[in-house]
Amino acid sequence: MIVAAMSCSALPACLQAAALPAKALSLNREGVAALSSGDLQTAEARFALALEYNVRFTEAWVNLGLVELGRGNFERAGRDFVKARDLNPDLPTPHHALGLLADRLGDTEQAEAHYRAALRVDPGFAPGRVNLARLLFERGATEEAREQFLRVTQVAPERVEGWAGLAESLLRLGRADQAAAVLGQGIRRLGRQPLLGLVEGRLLLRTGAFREAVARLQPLTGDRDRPVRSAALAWLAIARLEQGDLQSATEAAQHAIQLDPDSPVARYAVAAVGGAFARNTSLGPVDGAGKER
Amino acid sequence: MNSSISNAARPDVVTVESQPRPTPTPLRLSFGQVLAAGAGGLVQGAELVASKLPLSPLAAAAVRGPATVGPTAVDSLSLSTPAEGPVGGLSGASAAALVNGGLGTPGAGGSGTSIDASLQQSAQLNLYYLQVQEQVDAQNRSFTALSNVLKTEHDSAKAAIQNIHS
Repeated sequence: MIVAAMSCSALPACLQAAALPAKALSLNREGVAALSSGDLQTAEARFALALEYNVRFTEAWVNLGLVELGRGNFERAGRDFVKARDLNPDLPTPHHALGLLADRLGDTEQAEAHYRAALRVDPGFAPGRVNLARLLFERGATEEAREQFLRVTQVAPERVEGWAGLAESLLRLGRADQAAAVLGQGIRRLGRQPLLGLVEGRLLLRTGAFREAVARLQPLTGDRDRPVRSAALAWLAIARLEQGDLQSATEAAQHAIQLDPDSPVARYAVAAVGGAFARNTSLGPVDGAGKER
Repeated sequence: MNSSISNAARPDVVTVESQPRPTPTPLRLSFGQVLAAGAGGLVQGAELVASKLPLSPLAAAAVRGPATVGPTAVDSLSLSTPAEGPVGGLSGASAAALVNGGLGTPGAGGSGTSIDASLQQSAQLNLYYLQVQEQVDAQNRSFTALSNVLKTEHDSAKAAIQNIHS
């Protein structure tokens, strides 16, 4: 997901500068539109043109790096981001972009450091805080993740990631009542967003309301966001298993693991389906060739 | 010397007669039975392993804010004044003045006006620093005077006490 970050003109570094030509600014904006739609080639051309107007146009360097990141050219992306950071370390976006690169390369420690650097520049920079909170959650620092998600809900209440992440963190901390309250707040403010629907489905599963959980999760399996789709399918598989519908559970679990092989819930669902299948057929597990071991 | 192995009873070896176990046989569960028993806790199990949020990393594409009023958010320190844009390039001094204390913004005039404004602000800053310096000096003098008075008072009291003792 790409979020357009507007530069703050109140930052000190913003004041020490000359105005850019309007054409460069518009080219950069149009490049971001192309980047958001996935048209990397057009985006690259527009950012490069914007840089021809002014080679010290920091935002254009960041965006050009994002194009390279999207293509998997990590080295070039890193070069562009470092260039942007050297030009203006008082913008959060170059730090954040370096965090994204490290995140993509699996260096979560470094990514965390870059996200924190971006937040030191601008504590209101929501994408950086969301990404930081996500990393904290994934490395098991749930309490700190909860705190960061809570801050996201305060600094950018329009971002669904804050509400969903806060509810997920509370669930993980065993505070289901508080998670339900946060979910309610999020739904009241933003409506039934897919991420909130996932949490709602999970809360229904906890209470044993499997039918309602299935009804809530089923529409999310067609969501355009891949992680949401995968998570919805994995939880749906669990719900179906609890209902005793082995066939549907198997299909959902297999689909979930195809979408996201690293998803722990999808893996768990596949294993649970396999166990249930073995019990039902009174056979041992079968190997890849379909032969009984 | 007797080298034969003796069959005599050794004190560290005892003979135990086998008997049926006096305690009940422990319940043996097969793996399948354990798995079946855990099936009811599928949701709890899934929640335990749910260590990943369904969130993709958020990428932030940078866009310059709407250039309407005030200095634009440009990273360079260029002093050139492009034809377009709200305000001409700020000089280093005026930009610093804005950052440090918001002592007023220079108008969007030509470069001569900009330099005049910068000089004026620089003079204002110098005056301000001079006033601060004077205040600090005055405070310093007051402290020194007070310290001297207190020292004299202390010495007098000490001398008086010594006189009483002697």
